[in-house]
Amino acid sequence: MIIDKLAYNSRLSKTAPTEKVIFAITSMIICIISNSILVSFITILAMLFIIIHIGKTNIKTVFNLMTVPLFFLIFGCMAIIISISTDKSEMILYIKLGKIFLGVTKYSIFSVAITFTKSLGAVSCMYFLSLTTPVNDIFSLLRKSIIPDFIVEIAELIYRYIFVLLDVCEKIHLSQDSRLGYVNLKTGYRSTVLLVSNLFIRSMNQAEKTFTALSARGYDGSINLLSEKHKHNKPFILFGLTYIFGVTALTVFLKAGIK
Amino acid sequence: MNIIETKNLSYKYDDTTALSDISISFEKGKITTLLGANGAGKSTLFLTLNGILKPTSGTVQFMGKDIGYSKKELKLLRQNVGIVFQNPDDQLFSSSVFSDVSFGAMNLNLPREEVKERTYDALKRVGMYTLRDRPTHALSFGQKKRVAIAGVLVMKPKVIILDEPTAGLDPMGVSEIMHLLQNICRNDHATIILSTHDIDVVPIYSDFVHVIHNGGLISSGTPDEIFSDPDLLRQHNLRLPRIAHLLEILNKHDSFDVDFSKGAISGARQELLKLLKR
Ligand SMILES: Nc1ncnc2c1ncn2[C@@H]1O[C@H](COP(=O)(O)OP(=O)(O)O)[C@@H](O)[C@H]1O
Ligand SMILES: [Mg+2]
Repeated sequence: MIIDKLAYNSRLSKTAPTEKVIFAITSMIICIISNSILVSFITILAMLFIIIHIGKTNIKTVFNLMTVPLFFLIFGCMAIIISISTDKSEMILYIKLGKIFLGVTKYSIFSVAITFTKSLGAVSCMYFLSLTTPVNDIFSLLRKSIIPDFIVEIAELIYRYIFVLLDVCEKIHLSQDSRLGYVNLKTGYRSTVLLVSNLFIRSMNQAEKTFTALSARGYDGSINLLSEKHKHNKPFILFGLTYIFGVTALTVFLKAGIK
Repeated sequence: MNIIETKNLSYKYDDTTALSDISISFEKGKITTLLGANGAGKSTLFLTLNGILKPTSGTVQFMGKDIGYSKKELKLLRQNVGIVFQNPDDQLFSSSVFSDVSFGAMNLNLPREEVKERTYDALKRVGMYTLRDRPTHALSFGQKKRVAIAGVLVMKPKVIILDEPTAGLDPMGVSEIMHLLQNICRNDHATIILSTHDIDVVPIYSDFVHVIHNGGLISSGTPDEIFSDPDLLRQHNLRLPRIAHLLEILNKHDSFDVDFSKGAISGARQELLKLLKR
């Protein structure tokens, strides 16, 4: 759960979450509807600029995180770039398998390039959000939204207790492992079953304890929390507005130019 | 004056009797310690004191009146009697420290400005103000414990109950928490009730002690009174503070004339100085 810690340490963590969510979603929509390699590239660069330069998140960490979607994208795009046909006239590179040609066409290269950059652009918008916005800010935003409160409450409790139960899970696993619980496949299966059933019982107990503790603090069916006021980050707002207007103008210009 | 007391209270969990016919009282504005071995019934007693558990028989009185169990009465009671649970992970449910602490105050339907002020104040009191933006799961055990205390302080209760507040803390953590409780008791005139089986901290901070065993009250008194009967403590899986034990050996084996009920360093020092100067 490193990504969670990164968000807390970002310089943008205290910026109003509404602004960040609006910015991320608008940028993503523009990136997708513009359908242009240039705009996608600009989106990726802009997001990296904000995350690294304004948010002061470590460059290396950000690039490491970017390699995750990159990996999936490369494999996904392999499937799109290769087309199968009995006609080799449009293919730039191909191999012959009996009567069928496996190869790459000019059109498939273009469509892969655009899919690739568009996806990466959209992903970087989401990375911007998750690297600058702590999860509980997202929760407080969701509370204000039209989503029913009890769903947000459940989500928040799940998020919090994932960490508690993860801890329990680690401890049980360690204690099993130190008593040779995973020494071979058979004991391994048995230990895993025990761990899972134990964890289930623990989470039931935890639910009861948490309910007791909530009641003691005056819980009466709804969880009302206050969150701290957020600050406005001037460089972010200036850059964000400039970027959105600029990219929108560019998109309109490109669309008009094509027609 | 007793702020909270029980009258012939019994509590059964299905078939285990956790508390049997216990009548115990807690004086206003004092720090009272509930001393008892594991399974003595300390946690169960605490849960009956703010109406989480309803006694099988007997009653709980708050400020001289039997407590009621209607939703409205319970809300009022819990506003006045706060519990800090033993395991902070049971209590801290929000992923943000600030939000978690605000919970109790929000439940009092106070204006937002006041909730904010109280939350900041409570966080400052426990020394967690600068860490208020941290996610809960990134805190150490001792820090979680402080946040849990802040979560109760924010409601400004008349009585603060703490279930084993020193368990699992390092020596520094123990004395910081106990100092904080002393502070709350003196400055806010709150009544502090805590449980422990850490006998060495009892004489330093407690005004009054109740010893319980197997769900029954064994004895009550000031720390000096309790520690003057070491055999009673031993019968119930407890012991004297180390210092008092030393004085007891000096008294019983070496026939020195020392008062071994002095469990705190300062009292023991007086006794030893008296002896040396003679
Ligand atoms: N939820 C429960 N269900 C059944 N028995 C319980 C439960 N909680 C505590 N007990 C039993 O009640 C007795 C008192 O427990 P407790 O109040 O937790 O003691 P202490 O806090 O002093 O260690 C023990 O015998 C314990 O096993
Ligand atoms: Mg207990």
